[in-house]
Amino acid sequence: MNTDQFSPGVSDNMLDRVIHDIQARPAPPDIKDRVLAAALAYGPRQRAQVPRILRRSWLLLGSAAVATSAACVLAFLLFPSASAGWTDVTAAVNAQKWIRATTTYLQGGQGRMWYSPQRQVWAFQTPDVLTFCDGREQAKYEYRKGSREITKMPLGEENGNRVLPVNDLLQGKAVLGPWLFGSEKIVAQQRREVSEGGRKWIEFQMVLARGATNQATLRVDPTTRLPVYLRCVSPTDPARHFQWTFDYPAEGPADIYALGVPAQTRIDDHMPSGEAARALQGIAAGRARIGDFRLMVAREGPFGSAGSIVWRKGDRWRVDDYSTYMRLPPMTKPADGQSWSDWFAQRFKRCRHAPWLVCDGKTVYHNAEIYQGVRWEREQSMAPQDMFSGQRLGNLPGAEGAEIGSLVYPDLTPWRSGRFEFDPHPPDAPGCVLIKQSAELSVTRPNVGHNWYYLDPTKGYAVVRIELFELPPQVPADPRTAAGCTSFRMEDFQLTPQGFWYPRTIHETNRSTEPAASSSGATGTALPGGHMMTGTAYYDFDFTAALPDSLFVVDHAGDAKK
Amino acid sequence: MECDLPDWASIVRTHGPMAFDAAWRLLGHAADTEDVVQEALLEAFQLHGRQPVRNWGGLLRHLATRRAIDRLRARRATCSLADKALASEPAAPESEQPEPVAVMHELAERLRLAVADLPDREASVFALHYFAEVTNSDIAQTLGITVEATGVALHKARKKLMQSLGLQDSAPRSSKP
Repeated sequence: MNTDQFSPGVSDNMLDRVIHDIQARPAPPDIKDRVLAAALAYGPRQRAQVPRILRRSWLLLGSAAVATSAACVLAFLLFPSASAGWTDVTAAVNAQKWIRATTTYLQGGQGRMWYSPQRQVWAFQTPDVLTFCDGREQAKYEYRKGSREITKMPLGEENGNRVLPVNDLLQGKAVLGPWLFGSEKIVAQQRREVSEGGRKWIEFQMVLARGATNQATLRVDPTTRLPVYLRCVSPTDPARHFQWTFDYPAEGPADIYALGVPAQTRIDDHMPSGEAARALQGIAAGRARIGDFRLMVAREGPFGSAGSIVWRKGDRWRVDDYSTYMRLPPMTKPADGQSWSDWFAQRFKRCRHAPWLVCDGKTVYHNAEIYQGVRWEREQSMAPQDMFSGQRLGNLPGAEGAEIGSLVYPDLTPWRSGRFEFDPHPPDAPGCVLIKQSAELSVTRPNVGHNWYYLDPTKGYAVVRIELFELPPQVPADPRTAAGCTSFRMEDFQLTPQGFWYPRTIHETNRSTEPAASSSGATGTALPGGHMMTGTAYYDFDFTAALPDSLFVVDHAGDAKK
Repeated sequence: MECDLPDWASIVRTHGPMAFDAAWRLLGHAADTEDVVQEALLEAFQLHGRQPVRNWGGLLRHLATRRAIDRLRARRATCSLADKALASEPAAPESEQPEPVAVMHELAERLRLAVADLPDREASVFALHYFAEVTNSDIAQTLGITVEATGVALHKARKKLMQSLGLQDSAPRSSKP
């Protein structure tokens, strides 16, 4: 649903909007498939074995089910089972007013984390930094020891998920994940029961997608179903470990001052307001609307032609690469009336095809023998959620431009050490708004890097133009005066049934005042005192394409499912 | 008495996915959805072979939504996600009101729990209409009521839900402090 079609503040529309939001969220495909497969297997045996309580007229099911459900809940509360699962732990944690975790660092000093599901607060204390995330305000407060002020900035998507890990909650996953591990994903887990100190405990042994200490053990009290501790260990160096111990106080920090910030410390407010805030939310909403798809990408640039096919189904996705070292005819977009699918199919016939990345919902794998064969290895630098995180400006490792979601809807949340400016009426782009980000660059100090994003409010704040450049400090920011500049121009926007705007064409230009390196193999246009390289990418989404589960299965014996 | 019946497998393949989606939309919780839909399908399987059913799609969706509503009511008794304090906060003017994704998620959860608070008929009609995408005439046939009664129930349900969610335009708006 396009946010521009909605008039905020009208009750009926808001109710319909909430309904539409619920309707738009895809059901977990693996669970759906499992349930339906089980039903297909019903036979006479099941018909005979159903308890008498179910053999009633379907018109009376409502009252019977209520009574049954209530009895089950009561039994659960009175007679806690030792077989608590993730769902039970999630429910128990979510019912607490506050959860506190404490650790002692190897180098000394304590670390403490606070979380309140009801209050939507996540706070973190270390000897040097205090952080307080407020989900209601959608704000993050940060204070560094010795500083004279507290920085207040928007919560951002990752921290937003910490204080209200809605996606995890909705999918019945452990609510602890985002709170403890941030954006890290639990790749594998096993449950076991142990006896220690004359008591029984439940332990969940988890493997995280990334990190040196990625082997985690969560111990849970079977009586309360609440976590007791979380211990994280390095798989290669057992001496490298840390442990968080949990308790559940009735009260927690109301604000960042309660964590120990001096009372007189002023707040330096970096919160965007008005249309700037709407733009940031519109971007996040746009990316969330993409849904399941098959995407075809064809790119032509100074280094030749390439392409990708990207499939996405819920948490799972896959990228296949189509490349060629041949110089193909110049790429021109399909004529009016010509099928884009056919156009892509013809182009890809001239390319080599290789599966490149597969995400099964928990782990990302890359093909370690691309173009020689297929051998899947765990990708160390990517987590499943990275595909739609709004980072990296569209570039997956080895698949430039494939991640169009983050290119057209990047996460532009201000960050602490960067500068954020909003221009509601940029003179060089009538009808657009402009977000300018800048920060001192660590590699080319003291230069300042500038990222300008032109957004179109009539297209759900999709990015229509980007300028990336750097300048010496104190020089007024203007891409035309920068020694080098990378520009993107998005054209021919399409609106999908889900309300997601995307460009069919993206032009990229790289301008530099330095001559092109002759050994690079790149082609470009010489400019007085420099050169310019250009590239074009075409995109075609198909939201009705078949997305068989076999696409996202990695055979660890070495062969990808085709 | 065995009747001339459509094949069970075709019933599941044709109507099962929508029943699952309806329960998922109501519950928003994977484990609960799995439980509820399994119960509903098993229940339908019991009926298959015992009595004629004119509308399997409507029946499956009705079974799934009924059980989902029951599960919502049971969930509410043990662990409520509704934040009552937010409902009493004055709303900001439209020009200063961002629409964070988190607020939408919370409204969705509050809507689910509010549906569970509705009287049975209104809850069923609302759930079947919006979450199971059943037409009013099919809802009427499934529930054994008139189409007019279906429309009235839907209207009442919407009114009550808007009130529950604090969406009624009943008070002047003021700026957030």
